Amino acid sequence: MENIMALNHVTKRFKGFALEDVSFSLKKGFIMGFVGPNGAGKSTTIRCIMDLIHIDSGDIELFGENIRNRLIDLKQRIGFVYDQDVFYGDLTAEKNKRVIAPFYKRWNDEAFYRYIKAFDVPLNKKLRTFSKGVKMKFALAMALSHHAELIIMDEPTSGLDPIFRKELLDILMDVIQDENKAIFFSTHITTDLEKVADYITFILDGKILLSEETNDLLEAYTLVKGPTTLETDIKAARPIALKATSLGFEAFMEGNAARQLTRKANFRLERPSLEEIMYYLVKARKR
Amino acid sequence: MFQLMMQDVYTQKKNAYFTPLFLLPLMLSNSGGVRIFGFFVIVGLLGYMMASYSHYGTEESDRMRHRLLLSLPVGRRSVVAAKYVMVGFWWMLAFVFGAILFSVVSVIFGDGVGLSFFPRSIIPSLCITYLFTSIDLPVYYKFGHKVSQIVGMALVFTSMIGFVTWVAQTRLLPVFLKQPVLFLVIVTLIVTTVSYFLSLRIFEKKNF
Repeated sequence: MENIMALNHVTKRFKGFALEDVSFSLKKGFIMGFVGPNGAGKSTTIRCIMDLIHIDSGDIELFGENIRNRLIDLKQRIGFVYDQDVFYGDLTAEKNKRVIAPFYKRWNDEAFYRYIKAFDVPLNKKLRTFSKGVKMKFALAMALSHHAELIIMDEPTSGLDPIFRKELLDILMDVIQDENKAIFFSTHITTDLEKVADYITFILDGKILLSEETNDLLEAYTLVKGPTTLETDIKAARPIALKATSLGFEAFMEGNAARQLTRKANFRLERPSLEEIMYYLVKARKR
Repeated sequence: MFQLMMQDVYTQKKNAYFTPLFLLPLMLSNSGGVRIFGFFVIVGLLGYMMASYSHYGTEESDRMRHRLLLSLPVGRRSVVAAKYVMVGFWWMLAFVFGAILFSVVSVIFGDGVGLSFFPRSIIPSLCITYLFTSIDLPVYYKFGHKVSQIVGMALVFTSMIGFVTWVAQTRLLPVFLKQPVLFLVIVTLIVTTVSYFLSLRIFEKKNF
């Protein structure tokens, strides 16, 4: 399957922070969730992909082409949703559309008004009067109205109420029905990702910790729980992270190692959520 | 490029369209000569003010505006080029508004100050707008609007005074006196070209 986006050994250094050797790829027809704690480099990576930040070394390919070659043409095929207020706050939603739409060769007014109506975005009000959620809905309508093949979203679900978050995920699932499209989105809300993401890429301190299929990732780790009497056994198995609980302990381990443990003693195994995987991986790294 | 220019028109601050009213005190001057001479200088300055208003904002709003523009299918070169082309548009607006005001005041005063000097004011006022904006824009791209508003203004006036002093002290003075408009055009072309490439260099290296 063809890559729609690929980052190869991307490095960008700032004062006090650096993206180091960032590499991962996204194939057509899939949704990739980009996760990591605050300040891990998610937005910086997205800004590198959009060429808002010049990288120091490495390559970024979109639609099989290096972004240095034909970036303007490539951006015709990208829809973006940012976490910040990038649109013109002093203009109404309608005027914002009038400013932005002419930049796209394949702008679809019909689709835009359909989304605006479905999302309940008031067209004649200034953007700065919108709540964060409505701003996000407007940005999403803009991103989906020019036949973009790659949708890049930076924290699109933050600030959204649970109902619209669910609707958004449905919209993304609908978009991805076209197997020539792909969605890349960063988020803190990992429960959203478990529902829709085919792949998870996890960034921590500017480095990619993992980039895997969601199901493989959820299978790769196991939570092992047991009473304090079994704590010596669990420590001997060298878990990635170990936490004392009111009932005993909770250990975060690789799936295979955990399954071997159960042969020796009566441990309880649980499949961790993405949030737990993130939490324990970060905790283990910081140790 | 056209879309970027339209973007500037849509996002222009409303008070920018009232700047030609600054011409009124000059218009109400009793001396026709002062009004004629002042017309092209003030229209030139108003053009500069309108161009400057088009990128008025805070550091954060500047960053967001550029983040949006550069996420669209548009190159950095076009963003900068459109800004320089739009300087001509803002000057044109200032000129048209100024000319209308001047004509109205002339009719009211009925003092016989003709309108034939308008065509002769076109090139000098356009040069003044471009010269001032050309000094301002690289400062804006490097440091943002706040700095360009303070430093840029000071820079504009010191460079003008410095330039006039330099011309007066060199062999260029006779050339200037003989062909003032041609001299102004050549200087404007040189300054604007240098300014454009400087702005482009700054903008292309910037992270947003």
